[in-house]
Amino acid sequence: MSSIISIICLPWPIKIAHGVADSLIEVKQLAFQRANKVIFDGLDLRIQRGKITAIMGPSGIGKTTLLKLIGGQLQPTAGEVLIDGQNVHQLKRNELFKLRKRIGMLFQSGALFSDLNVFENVAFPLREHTQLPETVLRNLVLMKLQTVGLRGTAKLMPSDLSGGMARRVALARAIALEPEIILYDEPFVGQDPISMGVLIKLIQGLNQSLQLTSVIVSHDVNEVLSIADYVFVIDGHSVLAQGSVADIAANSNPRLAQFLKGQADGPAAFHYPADDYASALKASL
Amino acid sequence: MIEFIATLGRNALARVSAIGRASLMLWHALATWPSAQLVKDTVKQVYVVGVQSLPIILVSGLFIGMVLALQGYHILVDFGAETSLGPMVALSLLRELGPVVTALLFAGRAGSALTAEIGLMKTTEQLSSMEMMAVDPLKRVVAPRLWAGFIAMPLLTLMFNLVGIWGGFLVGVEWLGVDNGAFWSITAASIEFGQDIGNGMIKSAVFAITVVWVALFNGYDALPSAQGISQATTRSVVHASLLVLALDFVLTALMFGS
Repeated sequence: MSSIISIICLPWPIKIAHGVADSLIEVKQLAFQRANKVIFDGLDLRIQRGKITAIMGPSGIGKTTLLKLIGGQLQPTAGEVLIDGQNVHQLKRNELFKLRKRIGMLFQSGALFSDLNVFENVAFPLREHTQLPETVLRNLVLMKLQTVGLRGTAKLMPSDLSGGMARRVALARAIALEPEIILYDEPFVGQDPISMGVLIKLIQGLNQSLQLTSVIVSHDVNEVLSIADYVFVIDGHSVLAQGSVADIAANSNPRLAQFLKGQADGPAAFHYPADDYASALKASL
Repeated sequence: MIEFIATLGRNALARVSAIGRASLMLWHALATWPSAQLVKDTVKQVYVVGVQSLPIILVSGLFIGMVLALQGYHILVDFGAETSLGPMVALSLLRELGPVVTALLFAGRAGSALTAEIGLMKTTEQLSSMEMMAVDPLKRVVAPRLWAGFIAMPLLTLMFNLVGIWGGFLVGVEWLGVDNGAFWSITAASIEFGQDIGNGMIKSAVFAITVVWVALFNGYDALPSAQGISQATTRSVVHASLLVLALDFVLTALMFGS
């Protein structure tokens, strides 16, 4: 009873703040172009706190670019990205670095430091940003490696790991500072079914146990839909469809259906735009 | 004609933009307080770019000193001036060949390795991942390599000079029979510390900044692909070598021109 009373008696600003805070990442009217090629134009996304959000779309649509824009590694031509209310692209360098300590990112290649062994790779962010005694740091690193099932690889070099193992070590490094947000860039690309299953389990498990907000950029439809709470499908420079997995599955947009079912031809043509085929063949005679 | 002018303009703008990016990189890398981590990483890099370059520097220095003595002896002996062989070898090395050849060898051996290493770190997203971990790669990766190059190259030049003079002694005194006492005493009397050793070291310091800066910028600015790294490595060696030779002329004119 007393807890109910205490909730009711919460001051107004806290209640309002909680409502706003449901969206941890907001992308508003984002535009980005590279060498005169438009990548995004008027992109709007709201990523909810504590959920697994998938951003899907065909290859080359700019999904990795979107993560780099969210992380402040690229500057948009228009629009803004807000993380917890902070405009990422208007922050000073030290403020941006402070914000990035709250974000972990799993790169497509793993991006492990090739001159450091597995242990030192996971220890790297801890050594850079904390003053922990060596024994505590060692235990923390071993705990992170145990979480991804690779404590036994602590002394191996990145070159000794398989692609899937490297990605799991990179995941251990990404969660080393216990971030609030974790960005996954194509985590399932090039993985065998077992590694894929392990990664799916890890992403889901970590999101629940660490209360993370996870953003997964991928085009692996089945794997992503199996764990996502909310899905954005991007095509043609902006959001094509969004909603829960059930909403996406029920959407009748032919372009979306082609993407989800992996059809070779449809609204997205099989052939890259070109001159008339017959005339091109005749011209070469 | 208009297309030619437009291309010229685009190239000029690209060069000016590259110089701007290189200057910003240098500024961000150097504008930092020295930390224990920076000192530790710099010491490691001095080993990589300095100690590991020693074999090529020492062997080259020895042979260049020996060739100088051999060539010089046959010219000087015609004028009965073979006792001037020592100063000829020593001054050639201290003023010119030592700083220039060391810089060219350093650009080929260590500079190209630095470019490839940084370029590969960029291609494999290691620099991006460092940024996303709130660690500035300019301070963590580029700065220690810059300082290491600045420290290592003048020391390598000193060693190149010493070994070169010793090579000249081996050929001149031990092989061709120039008087030992005359070789060393005239050499010692001919060398002025500031004019010869000092100016040689100033040249070496300028070349060190040039070679390491060019090498690191080309790696940091490389296109993230195999071809991009290959082009950056070639560009690094070619640009650094040409800049060293051009700067050598300017510095020699300023130091010894009058």
